[in-house]
Amino acid sequence: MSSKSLTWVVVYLISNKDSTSDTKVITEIKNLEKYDFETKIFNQGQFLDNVSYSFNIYMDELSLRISNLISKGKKVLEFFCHENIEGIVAHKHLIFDTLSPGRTPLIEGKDVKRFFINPPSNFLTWNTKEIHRTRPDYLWNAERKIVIQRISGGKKPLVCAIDLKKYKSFASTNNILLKEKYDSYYYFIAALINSDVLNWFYANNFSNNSTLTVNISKTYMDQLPIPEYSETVSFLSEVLHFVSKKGHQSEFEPVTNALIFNLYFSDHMKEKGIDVADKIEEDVRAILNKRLFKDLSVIDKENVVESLQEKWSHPDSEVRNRIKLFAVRSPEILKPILEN
Amino acid sequence: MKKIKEIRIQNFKAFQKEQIFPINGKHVLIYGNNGSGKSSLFWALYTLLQSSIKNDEDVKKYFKKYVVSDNATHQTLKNLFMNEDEVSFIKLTSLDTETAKEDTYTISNDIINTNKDDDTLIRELNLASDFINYKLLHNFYRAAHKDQVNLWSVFERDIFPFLTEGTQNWLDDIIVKLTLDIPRTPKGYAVSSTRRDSYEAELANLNLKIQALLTEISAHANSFLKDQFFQGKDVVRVSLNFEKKFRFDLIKNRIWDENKQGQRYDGLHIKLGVEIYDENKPDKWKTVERVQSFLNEAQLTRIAIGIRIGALRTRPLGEAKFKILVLDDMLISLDLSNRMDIVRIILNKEGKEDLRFFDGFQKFILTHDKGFFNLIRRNTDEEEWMYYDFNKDEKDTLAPKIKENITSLQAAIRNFDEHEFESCGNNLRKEAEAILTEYIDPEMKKLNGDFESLGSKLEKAFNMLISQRHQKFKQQFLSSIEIEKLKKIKTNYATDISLNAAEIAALDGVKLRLFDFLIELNERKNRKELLIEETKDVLDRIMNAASHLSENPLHRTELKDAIEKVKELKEHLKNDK
Repeated sequence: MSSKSLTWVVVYLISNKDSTSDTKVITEIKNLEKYDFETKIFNQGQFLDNVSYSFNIYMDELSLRISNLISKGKKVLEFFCHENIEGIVAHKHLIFDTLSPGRTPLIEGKDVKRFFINPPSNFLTWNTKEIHRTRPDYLWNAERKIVIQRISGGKKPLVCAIDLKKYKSFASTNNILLKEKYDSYYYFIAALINSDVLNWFYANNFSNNSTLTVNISKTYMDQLPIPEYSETVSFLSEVLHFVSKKGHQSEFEPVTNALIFNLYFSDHMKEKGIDVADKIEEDVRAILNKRLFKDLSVIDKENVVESLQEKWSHPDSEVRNRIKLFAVRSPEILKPILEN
Repeated sequence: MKKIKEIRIQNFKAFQKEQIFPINGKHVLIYGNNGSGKSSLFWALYTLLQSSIKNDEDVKKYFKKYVVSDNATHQTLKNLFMNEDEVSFIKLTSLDTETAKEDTYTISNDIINTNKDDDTLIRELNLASDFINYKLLHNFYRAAHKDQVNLWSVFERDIFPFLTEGTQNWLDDIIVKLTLDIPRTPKGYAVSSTRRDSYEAELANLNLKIQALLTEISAHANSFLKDQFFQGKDVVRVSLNFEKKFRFDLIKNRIWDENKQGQRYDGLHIKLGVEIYDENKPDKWKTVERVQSFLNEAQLTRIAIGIRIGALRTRPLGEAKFKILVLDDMLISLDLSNRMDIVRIILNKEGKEDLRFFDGFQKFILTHDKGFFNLIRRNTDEEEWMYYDFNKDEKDTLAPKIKENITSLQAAIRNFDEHEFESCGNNLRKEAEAILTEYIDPEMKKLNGDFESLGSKLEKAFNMLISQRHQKFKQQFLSSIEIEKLKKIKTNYATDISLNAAEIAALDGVKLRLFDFLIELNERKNRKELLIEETKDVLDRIMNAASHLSENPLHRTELKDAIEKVKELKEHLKNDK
């Protein structure tokens, strides 16, 4: 088995008269023959609230409590998805670095940034006979899809953007199509996937906070808890996609993250005097003035961006100031996520 | 809002036996010669606030008994001359101004209750507070007078250590922690491939984060420079660019080790960019190529202060309910006039909207310049401020002698009680001068003008009151009613058929205002002109005798009257501002 990796489970059964709700979990095998293991004791009670049915045995009590709070009462991503699927696999001889007739732009995981897809530098000869896993046509013909880096890692492993250009995507990506009735949720879901909350959730529940390469699994993605739809989060996500094209995300990412915190921890943030939802919504309403961002001209969009940026970067902005107090006023929930 | 009610310090830096500062939520102004313990108070407050984001062991190290052979005790800040076993602590009692609730926070070798998750008040205080000391301008000048203006050293010494993001200190937790060393193999070699890539990605994030902070600081600095130094006009604007950033090959040299400061200051570069407004340029701004030869000291000072205030404004001042601003001889390298300009800004005496952010701070101003101390003292109010004198001979091993610096009026009352009548008279004169100076020049604009005698100040105040009275009189009684009709006010005009209803009502109004004016004029509390005249008389009688050692004995009753008169003057002129 040298230089091979595999997944295994060791169940070590012993007879024990002492019946408690504590469970001993083996976290490392030192010597199997000698039954020499590193173990960790869990109280089973702490799993009672866990409805994600995925357990990270390394997770401490605090992280488990935050995870449960994030998941509690939420539908999971799978519920909203029509498709959550890897990109294609094609041999190198089908991939070129120039575009010509018969070739189609192909994006890879590394092209996908938060709220932005770099212009593809690879072009694929679309020969369905030679391509492995061509994926259904409706994936490539969809007006929009969420593309996610599949090979990732670190403390913020989830990185996605919305593709509006019907790009073909390589197997280093996952691609999400939403169910028809959730067609208006694309920007909302993309903001959640990129958010501090769900990145923390994924890293702690599914990738053990690994700083090394992580394969973003469709199965785990499906388990991401999704809160009630927020029009304002959707708007901010749209703005982030707009400004990211111009190479900057400025004030919008922290504000979007803050609003997403508010979706998951509303009561807690109210109690601590750091809820921001009403204030962000108020600021957005005042500047949009009943207009829809998507219907605006580029100049008007830029004006909206500039006005909000000015508002949220002003030292007297309540939104800005409350965000700066998150970690201090919420040492039990927001701090572990923000200063992870 | 929360305020500091009391500070207690024992066996910490210059302090020895327990020193209590019962400041009761007031601002604090301290005068003390060099080495008298001012900076010890500065560092005591800083240490207590920073302890809120450190673990217990990192706090205890400041209070440990020094043991030569134990490196862990070498960072102790206990007083060098106290008995080694004497307990060392810093305590702070907070006061909630709405509920009057008090909480006490302590850091010592045994007790640390500032860093607990169930009470985050000191963390909030730490996040929103700022500390600026005399080194800022010194370091700024030094950095700016080199060919390449590199502000890295200024940020490393005077800005990053005082900035906190969430519960992370910018220098220790955000910058140094990641750049202390590169990741290495167990044998000490630099890691390669994925681990190196991943570390470099973290460095790139750090560099971006630093640049984002610099951009935020320069935006606030520019707005401050424009509003406070250039009357809202575009004159100068600055930019801060992190040009030489953290990189793998630099960090590999362990740049935070002792005696590696030079490598850091060469390897890291925050460029100060300066532009001046130029009508003729298409974008109206002209870049100054050689900043160090363009800026004189006054301009440089403004920029330095603008940048430092810019850094202060990155804090969530509007939302934080507890914040202090500690200035330790920050302005000492400036001349008095420039210093007062800055103090005027910080005290916001004119109540400017764009300086409101200073208002919420409980301020601690420490200075070794007695003249400066007196100027601020004269222009602040003892109801809102506490004043202290620190005194210590740098060479001796004793603790600083600290006494409350009371007002001249308070001193006069004390003198009177102790039958020191001459001193009482002199203190009354000082108080009267201070009251009049404050009344004549509330915005401290003529602080550096020529000497003005008490008599001249009294006359000025008198004239100001007369002039105000005249203005008020004009406003109330200059009427648009025709003069012939106005004359009818002396008659029984209510039944005069030559007047219409509106004219009768107008005359009624004039009459009513006239009566009110007469009554008000005759009320004693409004007779401020009279008060000044009376003060002049009583001061002439008492103080001349006191200061010229006249042989006429001072009469107890006269002094008592004078004290009351000065109190009355203070009260009335204060209310008239």
